[in-house]
Amino acid sequence: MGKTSKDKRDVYYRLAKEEGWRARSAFKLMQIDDEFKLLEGVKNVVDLCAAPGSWSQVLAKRLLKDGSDNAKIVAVDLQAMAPLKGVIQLQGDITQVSTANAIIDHFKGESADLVICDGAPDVTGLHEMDEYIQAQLLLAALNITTHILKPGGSFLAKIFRGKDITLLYSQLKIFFPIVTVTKPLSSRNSSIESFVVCQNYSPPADYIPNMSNPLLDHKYTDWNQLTGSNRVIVPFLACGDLSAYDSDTNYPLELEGRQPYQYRPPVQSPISPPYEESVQLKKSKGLGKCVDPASSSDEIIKSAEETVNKLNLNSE
Amino acid sequence: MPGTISFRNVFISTDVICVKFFGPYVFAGVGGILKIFELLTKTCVKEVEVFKGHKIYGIEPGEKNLIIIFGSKSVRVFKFSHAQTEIQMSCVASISLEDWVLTAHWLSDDTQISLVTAHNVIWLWSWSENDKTELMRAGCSEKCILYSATVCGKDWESCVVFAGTVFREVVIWLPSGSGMCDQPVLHRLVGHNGVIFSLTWDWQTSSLCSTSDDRSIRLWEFSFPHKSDWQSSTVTCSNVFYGHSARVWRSIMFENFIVSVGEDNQICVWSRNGNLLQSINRSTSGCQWSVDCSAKHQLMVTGAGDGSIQLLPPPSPRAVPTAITGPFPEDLLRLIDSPCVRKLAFLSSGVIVAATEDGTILRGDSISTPWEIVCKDVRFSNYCVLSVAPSRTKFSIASLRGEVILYQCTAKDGKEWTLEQQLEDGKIWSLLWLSDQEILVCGDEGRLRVWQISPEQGVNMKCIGQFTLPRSRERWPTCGRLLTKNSQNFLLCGDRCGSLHLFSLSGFSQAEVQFSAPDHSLPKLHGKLGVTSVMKHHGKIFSTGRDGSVKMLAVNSDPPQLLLLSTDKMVMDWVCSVITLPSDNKNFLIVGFKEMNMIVWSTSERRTILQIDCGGGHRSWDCMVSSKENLELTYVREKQIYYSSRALETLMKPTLQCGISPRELNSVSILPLVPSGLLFGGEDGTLYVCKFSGDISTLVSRATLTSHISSVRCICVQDNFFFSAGGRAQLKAWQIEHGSDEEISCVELASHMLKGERHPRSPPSIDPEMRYMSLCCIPSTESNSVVQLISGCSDGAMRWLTFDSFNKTFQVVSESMFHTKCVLKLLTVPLNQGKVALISSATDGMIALWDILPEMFTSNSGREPIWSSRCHQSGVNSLHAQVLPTSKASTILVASGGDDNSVVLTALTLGDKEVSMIAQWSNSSAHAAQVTGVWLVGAWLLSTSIDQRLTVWRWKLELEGSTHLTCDFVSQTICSVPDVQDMQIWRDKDFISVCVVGKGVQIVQIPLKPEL
Repeated sequence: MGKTSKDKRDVYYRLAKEEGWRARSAFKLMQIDDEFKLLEGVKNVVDLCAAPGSWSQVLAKRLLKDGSDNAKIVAVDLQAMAPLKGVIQLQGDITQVSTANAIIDHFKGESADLVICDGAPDVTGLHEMDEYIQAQLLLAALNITTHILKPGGSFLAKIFRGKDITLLYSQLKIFFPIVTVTKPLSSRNSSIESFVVCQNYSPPADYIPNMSNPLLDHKYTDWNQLTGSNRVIVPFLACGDLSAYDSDTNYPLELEGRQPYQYRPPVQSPISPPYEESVQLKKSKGLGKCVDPASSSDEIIKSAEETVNKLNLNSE
Repeated sequence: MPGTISFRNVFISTDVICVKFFGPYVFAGVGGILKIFELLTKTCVKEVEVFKGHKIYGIEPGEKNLIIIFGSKSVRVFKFSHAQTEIQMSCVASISLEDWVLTAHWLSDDTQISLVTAHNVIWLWSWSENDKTELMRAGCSEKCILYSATVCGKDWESCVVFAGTVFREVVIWLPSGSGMCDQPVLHRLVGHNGVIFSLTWDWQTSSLCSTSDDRSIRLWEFSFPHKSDWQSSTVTCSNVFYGHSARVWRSIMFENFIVSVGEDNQICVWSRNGNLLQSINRSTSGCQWSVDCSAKHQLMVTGAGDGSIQLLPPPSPRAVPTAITGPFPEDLLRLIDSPCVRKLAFLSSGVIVAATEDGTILRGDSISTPWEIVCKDVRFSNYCVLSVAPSRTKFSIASLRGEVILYQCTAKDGKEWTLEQQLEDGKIWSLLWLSDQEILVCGDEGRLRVWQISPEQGVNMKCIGQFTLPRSRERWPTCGRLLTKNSQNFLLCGDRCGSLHLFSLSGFSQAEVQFSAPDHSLPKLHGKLGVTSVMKHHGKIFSTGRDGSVKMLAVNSDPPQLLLLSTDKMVMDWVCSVITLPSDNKNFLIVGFKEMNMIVWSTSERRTILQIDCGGGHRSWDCMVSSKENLELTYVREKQIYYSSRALETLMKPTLQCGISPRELNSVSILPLVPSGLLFGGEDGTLYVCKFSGDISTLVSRATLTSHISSVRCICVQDNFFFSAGGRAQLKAWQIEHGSDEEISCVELASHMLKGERHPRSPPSIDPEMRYMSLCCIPSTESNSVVQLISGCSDGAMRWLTFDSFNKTFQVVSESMFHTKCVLKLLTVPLNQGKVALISSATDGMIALWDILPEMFTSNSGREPIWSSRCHQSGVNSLHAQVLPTSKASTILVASGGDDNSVVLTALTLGDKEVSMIAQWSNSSAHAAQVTGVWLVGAWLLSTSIDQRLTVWRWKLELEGSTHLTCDFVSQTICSVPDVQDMQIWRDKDFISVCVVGKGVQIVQIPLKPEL
């Protein structure tokens, strides 16, 4: 594959690099915000599963205009992430109470106005299982959100719109009276990815936030059947200005009204992908042969650390 | 009335996530259906719908013919029984948990089952047949999502949980620790660099095998200072196995082997010390999800992403061909000046004829009979063309000065004889056996002669045809066959430069001096490296070449013409020959070379059955299948003769269930001229022509067409033509030809790329190539050799095209940029008086109606729709329409399904001057995900979606008084095919059949109600 082939495939991939976003998902958040005004009047905001940090970039750009510090942004991820100006980074597990407390500490005891989560698992290709794990990731995000979100606050998260999505909708409806599914123009028509915008956080009166048990998605019931007319389907709202680029449409590399095209390397390449060692072995023709279990993985960790350090230097 | 419609599932093919040997059967989970195959007959003897709406992920046989089947959050216990010929599977217990079940494990008391769920919780399920079940829970202090788990132990008190976490670790813990609190982690196995997809425990070796996202398999060995005391046990990672080129899904430990299957389509067999012994690549069947081995049956079975279930030979060490060390005894060696073997071939099973550098021809047995010198002739030193007749009862040698000696090894009367004849003045460049009675001899300057051999001894050969090979760099044929078409005889031969030539053999007189040129040629058909073989097998002609492909051809007699039917790209770099199988006339073997290896590939299993490191293709070699069904190979390497004989039944095993496509299918269409014919196209760039037999509920593949260079997104059919298009702006035209006994062959008529075929060395275009998203033919009433087509493209354009079936060319007439966004669907609607309307839709939710005029295909005039409206918020993924019988103007009812979950019905009236929308109905929560299929059939509207539901609605349009369009939910079912992309519906006598495609294919039948 040529260097420019990815640029040709998706206009937003290319635009993200041109505008310095770490991932094209930045456009998704911007388009959702344009529609739902989620960032209006927001003081404290949390970005869960933040790496590589494109959503935090958007938060910083939109909330910290002109170097003001009237909003606090906390980005949480298990993995290290290259630093971003104005974003407080927290390396932690979203299933731990300690992480929730650390977030609240950063807000000086206040609750969050908005929690966003663009996390996705390693997809296996078995849609049913991928959808379940994505739902569990979202529910883990929702669980920590119930510890930190103020009543009336909003929650935005990525979902896979698949076979059992109505179970997740009925779960979310318990905490938020307004739940909307949205798909920005920058998310491809063919992708099962969508986003849920949950507004006006109102937990049930007797609900006590609890991290020790995971929230599980619902079962099919009489009022949310496996098949039939009584399924819980929340409203859908497409977002993104119709005059904006469409992620399914092919555009010429030279875009009208923009700078002449030039190839740009990715803003951030993956840090230590799982297949790194396998690829190294393939290059050195070591596949299919005995590997000393004690060797190599330390090197991978070292090289990952180096990558992170390098990224830190770059962003400074 | 909801629920009054019954849906009958008649066919399903999707990912096979689990397979298991059970007695003389193989159990496989196909979607939510359990299929039971009998090993004796290799047929499916029972199908049971275990789960509705989700897949089977595991099958665990236990004692007393009890079997646990689980998937998603459900677990069921079945009792297997076998009364005479009827197999019974009765569900005796069932439970639904609140979390995803990863594993189920029988405890020694067969009323107890332990289950591990995705948040690292183990459950003790005490079940009974009278619905009295108890559930006990134990959690672990490590709280995170698991991708895999397994349990070992005979009872709850001693059982151990191995859990593969999303954080790349395996945690080991005991559920029955003290108190009710969460149990601590006993061991934490660190090393994998990705999530852990499977865990397998083996008691015999006290070892655990883990497979991961990091493409490796790790073997962990446990040692127990005190017998079965896990508290004091220690564990080390004894080996890491790297060999898969993508994620590894499962592994099993079998005898001294570890077998792993992965996303890279491979089944790898490892020794426990980490050496890759064997890798079976099932490249056309996609992800290998599941594997099981049986010591009793000496078989392996895998389940794959294309829905196939394949038996395989059991794991075994790598077999290496034996070198026939110093084949020639001392007394013979004394007679040979230079015993260096140059050429060899098989004469019969195990019997090899070899020519040495000094012109000695030897014959010998690879095992027992001593070698003997057939002749020693200096004229054949340094240059000798050795060839064997198809029956291998005759062979020939040819020299530098035109001499040929024929040897009849075993004639009918048992006599052996030789015949010598001067056939050329100069060098014989090649000598090919066309049959047992005819040879083709090539002299200087491409001079070809066909010689007929007399059955009688001592009678000279007679020339029956002479031709000239077109001028080329290396001007001699490499392969040839005689063919008969409409009682005319032809010679078909391939040359060193990749071309195929057809010569007419009739009307040759001995006085002829003319060397005739080919009647028809296909130049450079196999690239520039040469054609390697041509053969005829059951009426079909195949050619192979050093371009790595096998091509299917046909011959026309009047005028003499060669037609390319299809091309199959093989896994090898050089394809060398096609070998028929004595007991199978549908399938054959293909022999070729890839890098250093000789490869034997089976067309029935579509995989390499034997791979031998022979040093590469530049050598003399031979391969045959003996009457005892042994695959025999011989080759020269470093002047040594190597020989290998393997029973075919140890290399090839039957397929229990054929697959369709390894990737998502994007499109399905009916082939009206083929009874029950269906055409599929998908992400793998392949077109599948299948026949659905409703009686036996199977989809039989009739043709697989692989020539698209990118994905196939859309297909359309017009009479006996069909068109396919997709990625890289590629568009192809095909023709279906019916042969005898239901044989279908598809001929590729033309291939078109919008920007032209790019030369491999020219720089890539700066701008992206668009994808064809949708394609439709304009139905024409008069028979015309020009087909009119309209395409919807991802660059926002609709393109008007014509296909001239006589000249086999496409032409782009003009385009419209009305939809500036990616066009998703097109649909033609035949109206009265031969008029045709077209409906188009795009990613911005727009639907447009066009009046299709004949002049649109001849001139570049203006193109504007006659009506358009934004009916959806975003992408319109599906369209269907029906013309309503109304009194005056035409009324069209348009159904559309969108990315916005909604289904919309729009009634449009086509007046003389304008189109008016008379009514619209929409349901914004028709589905929970993208609607990817809608279809109007009578008073029903059917819709399907990525949410895997198939919904039947009933619509009603009232035209009297105020116009009113309503549509009511009638019934719904759930499909087993994920990622539904397209739907096709056809009517039979008293039911309709619905075919949905996505990651798999499902066909559902719905009985027709009287009111429809």
